[in-house]
Amino acid sequence: MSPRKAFDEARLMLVGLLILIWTLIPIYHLFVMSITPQAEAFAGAVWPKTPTLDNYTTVLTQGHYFLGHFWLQLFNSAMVAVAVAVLTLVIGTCASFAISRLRVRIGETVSNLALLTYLIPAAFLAIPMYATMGQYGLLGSRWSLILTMVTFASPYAIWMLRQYADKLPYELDEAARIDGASPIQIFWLIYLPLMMPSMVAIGTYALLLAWNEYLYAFLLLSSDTEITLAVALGHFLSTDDAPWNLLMATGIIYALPPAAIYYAFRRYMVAGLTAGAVKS
Amino acid sequence: MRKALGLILASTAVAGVAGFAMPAAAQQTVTVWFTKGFYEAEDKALYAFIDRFEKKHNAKVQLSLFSTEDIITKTVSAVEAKTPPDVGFGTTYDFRTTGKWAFDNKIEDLTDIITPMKDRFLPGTLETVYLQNGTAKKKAYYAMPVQQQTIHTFYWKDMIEEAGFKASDIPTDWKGYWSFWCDKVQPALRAKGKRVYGVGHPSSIAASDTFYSFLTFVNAYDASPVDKDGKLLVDNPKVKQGLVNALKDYTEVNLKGCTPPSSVTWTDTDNNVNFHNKTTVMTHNATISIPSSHLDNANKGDAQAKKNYDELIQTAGWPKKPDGGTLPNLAAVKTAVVFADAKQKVLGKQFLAMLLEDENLNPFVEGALGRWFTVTKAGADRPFWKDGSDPHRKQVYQQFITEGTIPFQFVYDYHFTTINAENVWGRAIARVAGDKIPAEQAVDEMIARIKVLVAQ
Repeated sequence: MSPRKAFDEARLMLVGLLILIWTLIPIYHLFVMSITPQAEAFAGAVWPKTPTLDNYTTVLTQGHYFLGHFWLQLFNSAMVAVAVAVLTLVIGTCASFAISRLRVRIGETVSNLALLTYLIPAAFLAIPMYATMGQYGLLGSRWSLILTMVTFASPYAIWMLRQYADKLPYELDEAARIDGASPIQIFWLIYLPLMMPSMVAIGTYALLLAWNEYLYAFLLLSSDTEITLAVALGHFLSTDDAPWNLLMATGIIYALPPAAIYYAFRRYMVAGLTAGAVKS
Repeated sequence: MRKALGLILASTAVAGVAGFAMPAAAQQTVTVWFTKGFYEAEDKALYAFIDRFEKKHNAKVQLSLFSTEDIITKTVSAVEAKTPPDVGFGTTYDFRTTGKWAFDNKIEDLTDIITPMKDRFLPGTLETVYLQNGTAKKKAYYAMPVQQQTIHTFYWKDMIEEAGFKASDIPTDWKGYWSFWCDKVQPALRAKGKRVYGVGHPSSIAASDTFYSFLTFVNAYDASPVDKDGKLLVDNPKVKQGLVNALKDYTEVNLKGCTPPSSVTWTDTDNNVNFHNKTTVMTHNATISIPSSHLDNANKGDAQAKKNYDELIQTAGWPKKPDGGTLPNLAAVKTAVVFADAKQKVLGKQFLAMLLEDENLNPFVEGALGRWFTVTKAGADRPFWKDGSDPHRKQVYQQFITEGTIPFQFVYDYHFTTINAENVWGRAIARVAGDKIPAEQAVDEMIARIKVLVAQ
């Protein structure tokens, strides 16, 4: 390697290192606070004098007043996230199949309109969505959050899946039809298996979107037994002397499932999300 | 066939969704939203009261608890969507929304339930819920006082001793008081190599602590921008000069470098945090949340927290006003309301009336370990406040009962809820402390903005 190339590499590595440190500092603080006893929480130390896992024990055993329904709320988060992912995929795959493979007349318009919905920020729709759910009698029910999140995730899912579906050779459908396959059979036996990488990516996107949602979760859900863990974390901020160490420990536990899911499906995420990016 | 199958599937799905959401029984249900308590004892007291209420009224209470900020967002959304709960209690309703809701006819007139119990309330409490209704063109009791707060000062006794002073050295005159922390205690501790600040001085737009503290400075100069009839006084030269003086005094602490530089970006937790870790020697805070958090830890067996609470942290009042008079304590009364669009207005009112009974209200208020003061005479008469055994609660009692309180401006004109929400006061502080413009100019800008907001 020439000295100039080595210098360029070193420069890039330095920039990368700085970005890495910058990115990891908040996570480092999150972790340090989560292993710090309450008494030392604001000592300002880089590393606690007496690091402890007690905070995690307290969280996992629901040992604090703010964490009385920890497991139930974690379940609520998981249930909502999985339901949103499944429903989004059902809607997205059916819509993209109809638009791309069955070539329904207004398919193109539907596909473009789906993207238009993102022109309005989700936060602006909070009160109209709240009123709508009130009219349906769904306020306080997890269904209200699931349906809301599906509403926000579906347009992107339709658009992305349609882009990916367009790349599949249409000759496959024609061959199947010649062999006597019905549209349902084409969908089930040909379309879905070929769409799997994109579906994993979109499913993960919808799941993470719902898992991390706060605004709509706290607006639409109310009781301690219905809310998601993200909303329950907000309870810690009821007081101006929040038990930050427990909040951080809970935060880390809450961050683990989506991180695991992301890394498990990382390969599909990259392949799926970039699938429709360039027309071949 | 395919169509029929689709219809069946769709109907099943709709029925499933509807069934999921259908109310379980026909029993009368009152929906109640409350701010989640700081401590478990508060919520336990609330649950016990609800249990008694349900038995007495053969009703079901659907209770939801939210954090301080969330309940505001959630309730405002619900009121706008015309699907509010029956009863709401938020510890910042009074600052942000109660006055406006009353003016806009969004909450019920509670005069019929408050009148029979009028004599039970402490002076200064009912006045703050006697609000103008812009539709009915009348004033009435539109909210129920539940608990209240005022602003105190706190200092570390061991830190001023380390600086070479005693508690008795703290001056009681206005200028001398602030100079003590900035010009004596801070330099003395800095000389010993301590990287500390004399004052934890909330100065950000984000913190409600900022306007609570600044308006206390405004009261020190008798410069309330509105009178009891709701008339704006900002063009009165005396009031305007008072606002300038208050702003100069407030920002002097910042400009002297006597408060952490980060205090211009603090949230409400940060003056507590900086005091807890002894970055600041003193701070001012509305409620005794600072010592109470040490009491909470002491109750869990933390010996150092017990020492902090019993010996090292001192809760005190304010110095005399610049003219030598007594500085009035600015009190905020926390309000519960029954919404105009509520489905169970009668039951909601009964809920609030019963909450105010001594056996229900006292455990609820006292469960907060002194952070909130009671609104009833009987509550204030209890040993919890009165026996003097707790040095922090003793100070709270003194400020509320012995010295007395005055209300915020939003009681006289609801527009001041918007002015506080926008933190016009914090913006003026930022202009002087951050942009280094003269206080006179910052007050001119502040007055111009107040006029715009009041005209809306």
